[in-house]
Amino acid sequence: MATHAFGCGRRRLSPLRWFTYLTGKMVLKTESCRFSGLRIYPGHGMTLVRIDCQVFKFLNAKVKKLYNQRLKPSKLAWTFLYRKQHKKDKTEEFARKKRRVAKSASNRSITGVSVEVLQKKRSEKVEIRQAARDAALREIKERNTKAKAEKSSSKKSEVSKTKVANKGAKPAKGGKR
Amino acid sequence: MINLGTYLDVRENSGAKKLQCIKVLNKSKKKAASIGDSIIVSICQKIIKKKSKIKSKTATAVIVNVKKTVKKKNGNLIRSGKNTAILVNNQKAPLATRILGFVPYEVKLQGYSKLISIANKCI
Repeated sequence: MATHAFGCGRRRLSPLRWFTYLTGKMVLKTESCRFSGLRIYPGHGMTLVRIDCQVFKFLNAKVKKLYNQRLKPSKLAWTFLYRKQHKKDKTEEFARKKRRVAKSASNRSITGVSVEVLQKKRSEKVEIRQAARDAALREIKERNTKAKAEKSSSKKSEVSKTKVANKGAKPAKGGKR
Repeated sequence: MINLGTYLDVRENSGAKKLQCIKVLNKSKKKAASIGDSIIVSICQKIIKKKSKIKSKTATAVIVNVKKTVKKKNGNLIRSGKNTAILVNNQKAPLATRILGFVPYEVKLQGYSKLISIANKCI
């Protein structure tokens, strides 16, 4: 007869125990206490189900007693909630990575530009596009310089007139100090 | 531990208020009934304002909660503050339309599937 690690072969094992039997690793499925926030290991704790079907899991009788007295866990120094509020423990908060949505190239016409034109532009080489962009920029620069030159020439004539007027009248010195 | 003569509360809206056990079904004479067992009850009190569906003085009921601690198959212990029951008909369907609180798993094993579909929680 083959002998099993957990009794005879007829006995049914829970999936957790099967996992331990097959792998040789102990698995502890813990739950957190509703009041204190501490971990509850298997074989410990008690559950309270209210009439509105809310489930409360308590670690031990001490915790249950405090709950029945209607004390707030945020005012008791040893609870997890208190320590979190008053920042007693060093907790590393891992920032959640934001999901990046991959932008797919749209296959529809955009405000007057048809699909074919868009696809042509996409398939163009980088160098050609860069050259076109540079040419356009150069044009704009030239236009700006021309406009500036025109402005400055007109300004200079105005400034020279005003300077001449100022030179004639000497600034008066201050009287008694 | 529900014997002949114990009083039970009702946890639904059928209109009955208080029950008394007359007979324990499907058990030997000396054994007491617990969670999931069916009993015959006499209806002691009714809610007067409502037009209750219950017209006869006796009915069958399923026990939902008991004060005595009961050991479940998975090793948990269960107990409550009151002895409570739910009224059912011969087809194992509840007379009520609303059930308060949870219903234990043992009731489901007895074949009260309609009762559990109405209930909020099955533990």
